[in-house]
Amino acid sequence: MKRLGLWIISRVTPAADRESVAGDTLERYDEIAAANGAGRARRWLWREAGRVVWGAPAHWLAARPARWRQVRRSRSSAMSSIWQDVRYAARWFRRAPGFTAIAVTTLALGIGANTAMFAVVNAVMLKPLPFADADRLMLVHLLAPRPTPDHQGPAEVVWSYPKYETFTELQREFEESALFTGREFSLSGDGDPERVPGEVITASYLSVLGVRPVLGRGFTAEEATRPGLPPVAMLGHGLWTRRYGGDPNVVGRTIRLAGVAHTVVGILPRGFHGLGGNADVWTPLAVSEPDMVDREHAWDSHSYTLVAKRRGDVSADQALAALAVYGPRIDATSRKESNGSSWSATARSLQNSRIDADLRRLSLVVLGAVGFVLLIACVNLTNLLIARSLTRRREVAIRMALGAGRWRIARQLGVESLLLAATGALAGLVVAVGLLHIASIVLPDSSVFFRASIAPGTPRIPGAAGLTRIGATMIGLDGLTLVFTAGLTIFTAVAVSLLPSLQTSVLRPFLVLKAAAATASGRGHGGLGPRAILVGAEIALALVLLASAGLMIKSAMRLYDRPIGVDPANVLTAQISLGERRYTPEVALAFQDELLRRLRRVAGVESAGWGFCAPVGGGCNRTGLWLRDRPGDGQQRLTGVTWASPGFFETMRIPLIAGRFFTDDDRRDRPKVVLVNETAARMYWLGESPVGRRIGVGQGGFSDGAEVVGIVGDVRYSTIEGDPGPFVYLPLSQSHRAGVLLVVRSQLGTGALVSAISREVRDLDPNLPLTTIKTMSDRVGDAMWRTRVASWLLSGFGALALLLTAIGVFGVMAQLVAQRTAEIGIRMALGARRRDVVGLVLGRAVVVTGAGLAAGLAASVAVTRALATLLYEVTPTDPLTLGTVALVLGIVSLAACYVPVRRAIRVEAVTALRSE
Amino acid sequence: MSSTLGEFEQLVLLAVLRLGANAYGATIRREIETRANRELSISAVYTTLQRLEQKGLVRSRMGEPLPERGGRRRKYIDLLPAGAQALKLAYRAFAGMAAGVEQRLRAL
Repeated sequence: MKRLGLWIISRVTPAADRESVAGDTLERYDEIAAANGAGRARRWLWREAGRVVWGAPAHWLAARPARWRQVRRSRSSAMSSIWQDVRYAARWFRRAPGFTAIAVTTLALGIGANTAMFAVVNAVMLKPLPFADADRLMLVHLLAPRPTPDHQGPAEVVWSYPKYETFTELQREFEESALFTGREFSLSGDGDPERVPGEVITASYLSVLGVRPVLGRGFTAEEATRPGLPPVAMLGHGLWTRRYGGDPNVVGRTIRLAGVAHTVVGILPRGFHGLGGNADVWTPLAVSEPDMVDREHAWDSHSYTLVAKRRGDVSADQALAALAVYGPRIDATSRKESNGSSWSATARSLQNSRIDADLRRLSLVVLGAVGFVLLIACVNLTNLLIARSLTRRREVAIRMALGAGRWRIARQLGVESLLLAATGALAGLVVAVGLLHIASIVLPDSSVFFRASIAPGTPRIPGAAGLTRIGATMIGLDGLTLVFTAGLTIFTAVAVSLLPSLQTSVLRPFLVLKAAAATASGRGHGGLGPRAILVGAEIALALVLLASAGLMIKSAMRLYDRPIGVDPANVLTAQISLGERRYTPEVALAFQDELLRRLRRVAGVESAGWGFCAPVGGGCNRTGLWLRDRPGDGQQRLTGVTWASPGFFETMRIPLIAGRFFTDDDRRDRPKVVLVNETAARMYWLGESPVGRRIGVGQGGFSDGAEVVGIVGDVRYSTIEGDPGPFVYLPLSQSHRAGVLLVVRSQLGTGALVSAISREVRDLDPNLPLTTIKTMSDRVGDAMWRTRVASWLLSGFGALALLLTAIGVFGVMAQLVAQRTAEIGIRMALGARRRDVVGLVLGRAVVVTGAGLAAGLAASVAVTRALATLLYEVTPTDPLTLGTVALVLGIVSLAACYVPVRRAIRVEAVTALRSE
Repeated sequence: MSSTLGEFEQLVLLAVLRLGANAYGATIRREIETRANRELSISAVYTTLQRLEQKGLVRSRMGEPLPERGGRRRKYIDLLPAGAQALKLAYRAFAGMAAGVEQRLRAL
């Protein structure tokens, strides 16, 4: 210990004094040790080390060689002269408060919007995932054969447990793998019953992700795969602190999930919400869904996502190649009749799965758009600075004549623009925080979109903090974002000071001073050349932005008009889970029937029914479909499947094409019946009517066959943009589902309807919560959020660009008129009419605007191609959109000339000449 | 070298004066600690010595390696005439100001 203290003291002491300081310290140590004992001396030594470290900077400064002191003195004189520049610039800004306010506001908006957008992009895709060996984590998917060669639907399919088991026996490329899926649980006991999002997982889920419980243990492989063991569960940190006050004794206690007693065995770290991003409770697969472990019946029940950690010596490509082999072999293990339809498997890194390609592209497009806004702001500022440098010509010329070097002058300009940019950036940070705050109000966390890494500011427990969903409230300004902003500031300063500096560097003091004596009539040095080009460029940039916004708006309008197959107006949807054990299929069915009967009696309710997955919600299952009355055709056709009760189709206004809907007579003891949608009818029966045919369906106990009793209209269950795809409906009365969707069509207001429904539900079962209560119109809105958000953002930036451009055009034209006041006065004195004067000014504006628009149109055609995949039924070069925005921009640009032109025609010849 | 001495510089110079030929880091520090009754670090002493040396008020010379210091040498400090002069001026100023109020100073 003594040696360590001594070592520290010598280390931090400058070389010149190191030896003697160490010796002195040792002497003193021995003195104290002799007088007061070694313990006292050691304590003294540590205090001394602290003091020496504290005093080290001063010591190093005092001990530096004389030569350095010399350099520093000259550098300090350079520093003080830059400081002088800063003070000079600050004084100059104070004298021109209008100019400064406009410049700083422009920059604050530009830099602020960029910072906010970058913060989003950073949170969504740049921050690394907080898992151990995150680069080796992959999501593995099965690839289903396409039902027909021309079918474009997504082919990636999640796993059934038996197929996963087969996969683990085959594969050698992954260290460890796990299944998981999101589920909702009703949690009761210890307070009010509530719905808690959770995940059903296999035992290795935690070790794949490198997450360890903070208390207790994870699940054993037995618990996860052998049905019939005592139920266990793990709690998330949030639920644990919120509901159980962070009591460590919760581990070992019993809680009721879905009405079943589970023993809590572990608490997971704070911030970890599973890969699904919102889980707060975890149960083993075999406990919550024992049927799914059954190799016989669950082979085609694709319900779970597979996450796996690649072995360190296996590349991603090798893993993909191996999966391409395993896929067909897993399929071949199936005992279902198979005529060689080619299933396969693939994988994607977790990092790339965070957001899909479209969202990534959208984020970059919006970031690019906001970059354009900053460019336009820079152009405006450059124009302002050039205008100012014109008025300062005399001052600069005098300084140069007195011996100031061109470098010195350029530095002064640089310092000025850096000061402007830095002030703008500081204000911009405030703007960015404000924008993110507004975003968090407009887009609350309940409807969060991106899956990405943990929220900034949340402490990183090693291996914790999962792929949380991020909402706008979780996006903040972190280190990387601030670095980005600093870079932006420097870029802005350089960009805006470049042209003024160049102009100054070619300044001839002699000519300027001579000209000043004669106050050049006519154009003098005030040629608009570079400024006109800048304004033209500004118009071009604005046009590109407006064109992008226009295309996005048009896409949104097209999407809005797109039929989804149901009539969303006046329909309310709510999720109810009848998952508790006492809800046997018979009891659940009785509950469903009784609730419908009661709701239909409520005044104002037109109709009501039960469904399973909501339209445009993307939550439907897919399963195999077999044509049972076609002997020899064992082909399995991948088909969407959902459930419905009588009343569902009427409530949703889904049209009946042929046959009949489900009726109350389709009971459990009656022959099994199904409905198919138009697409399925067309694809599988090729023009013949499927009504009366027998098909097998891979889920709901319908694999042995059921009769098709009707064809109903197509409904877009996954996305508005996508095709509806083939779908089959099973009757809830013949095939039990625990989680069902209540749909009610009514003229009542949402509030009144919700309370009426809650009252009836409470009457039947006081412990049953309604969840995800949403009007169908809201669901449609949610499904359109991506296009909608993009069109909002781009429109906002477009409007900003339009405003900045108008300011730019106005500034330049006003400058033109001011410079030519004398000329205009002479012309009017010589008999020019107002029309001629208007032509003089406006002609200039028309040329600049026209050139800008032409360049902008050319650039738009090139740039909007990046939008192609985000657009819906609109081509990136849509002539109507481009024409409209060009027209709007042209009008705005010319309108900005109104005040300068009016000023020009009011010029009085006498006043103008007198001012000479 | 007409710049006036800082308070700590005065203390260090007084210590050097008192210690004479035996003035080096450890003794200067002990002198200030016991006489002026203040806790200080060795680096504070050396920082000030560096500054005094640069002003031409003191001079340093290295002694012989000593076994009790682990073979390290001492850096002895000599007071230069300019240092003595500066110290004299500082003392005069202090004594001049204090003259006639010693009683009251003690009573404070």
